[in-house]
Amino acid sequence: MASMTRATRLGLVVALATCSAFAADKQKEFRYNAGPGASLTVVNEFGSVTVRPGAGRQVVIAATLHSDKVEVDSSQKGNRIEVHSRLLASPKSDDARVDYEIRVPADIMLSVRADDGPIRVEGVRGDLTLEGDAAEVTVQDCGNGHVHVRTVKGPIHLSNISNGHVEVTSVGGDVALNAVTGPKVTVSTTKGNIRYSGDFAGGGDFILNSHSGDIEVTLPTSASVDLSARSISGSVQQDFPLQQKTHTSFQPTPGRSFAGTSNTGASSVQLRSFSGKIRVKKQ
Amino acid sequence: MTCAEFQKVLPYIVDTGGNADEEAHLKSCPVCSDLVADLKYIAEQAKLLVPMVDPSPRVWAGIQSSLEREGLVRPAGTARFPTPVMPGRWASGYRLLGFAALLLIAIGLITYHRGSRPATTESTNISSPAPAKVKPAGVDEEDTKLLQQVSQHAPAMRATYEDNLKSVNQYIADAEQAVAQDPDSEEAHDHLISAYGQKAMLYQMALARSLE
Repeated sequence: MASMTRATRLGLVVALATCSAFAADKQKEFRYNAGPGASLTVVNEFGSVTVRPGAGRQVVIAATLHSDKVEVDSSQKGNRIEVHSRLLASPKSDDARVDYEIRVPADIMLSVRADDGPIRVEGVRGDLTLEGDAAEVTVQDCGNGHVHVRTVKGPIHLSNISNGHVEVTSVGGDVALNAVTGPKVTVSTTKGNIRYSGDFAGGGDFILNSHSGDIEVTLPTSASVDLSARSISGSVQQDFPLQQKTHTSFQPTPGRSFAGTSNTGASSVQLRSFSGKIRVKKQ
Repeated sequence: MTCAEFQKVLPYIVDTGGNADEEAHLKSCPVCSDLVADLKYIAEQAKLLVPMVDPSPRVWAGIQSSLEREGLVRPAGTARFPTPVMPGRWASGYRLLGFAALLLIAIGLITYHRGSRPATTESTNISSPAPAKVKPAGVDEEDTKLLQQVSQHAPAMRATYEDNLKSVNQYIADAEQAVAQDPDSEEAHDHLISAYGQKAMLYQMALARSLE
């Protein structure tokens, strides 16, 4: 009986704690009509931002505020919608946290700055500009526009991006690209590793560049690429059947650089690492 | 005067106007005159970014030193970069914004300089031994000021920025050494441009955070 009482008390304490935690969270929702060519800017220092396509031409912003030390300013001027998390004092990061779930028309131009993140964008076909210092950034099923992603150390994952002008920059974050294609795809890191998996389709220019980060490329034999890989003081390993080029702008050196083509060589692929390892392998 | 000769002294011409030969070439060559116009425009826009203060003399000295290492300008002696008087008060992020703009201009100059080189077949640096290990790079005075800005607005991020600034400075140092070893290496120049681009991005992101 005594143990039942203790269990009941414990249960009550847990329930109360849970209730008070939920009570501290405040939900806010904003709705706007967005015409063609509309833009949405989200600035959120602490907390997640998730953006998905919704129905019709409405932008629906659901914000969860985790304390009363932060508020959300949201406004629309013409076709420009802006949302900012405003810190009312200098709270701890947990108190300043706002999590956003946003539904948008698929063609919206989206700009997100979320320092801690994570940032997740799915199914948006307009231009994307995503930035976060430590934020993990995930972009999926997007394309037909610019996809610009920048982090200081946050990892970046891009998958199923078609026909995009992709520009990814991170100093220390790892970058993973899966089935990312377009006329121009550029990835640059200092120490972050770069991993690409896909066929480099679309006849575009692909440049993957790092200082000390490793670069690993996995592609199917059906890929049509004109590929070069070069490392100044790192190493280059090739496990993919390429036809060696007879004319190159540099002298290939075993273990340091190579150049070759596969099929018609439709897409240009340049892999450059200063001191990291470059590996090209068959899918 | 050829375009190559003209472009060697380009930074001075943008700054001072150049001598009679250079002016004559400028009048006769639409390519070079367009280039000078573009660079002057960039310089004017950069001034708009620093309405309150000029960069410190060390910034100018650092850029001059980088450009000299790149072979873009003559070695110092007749320093033609201005040496502005620095006001006593530290004026928020504008000064660092100006530094970020100057980094971008430096990237532009390096990019342009590389593009203006005659095409050469590069083979030496790839097969040559790896460059000697350069001295580990730390953070300089401007970096320290940037870190102070970051500390004020997001103390928890200072260590992240410091760590990544050191990494980028190391990248710049490595790339500069590779360029010094083989000035004709397209690969080394590409890495140098990329390294400066990474540093410019760090400054832009830190300032975006502090100006929010």
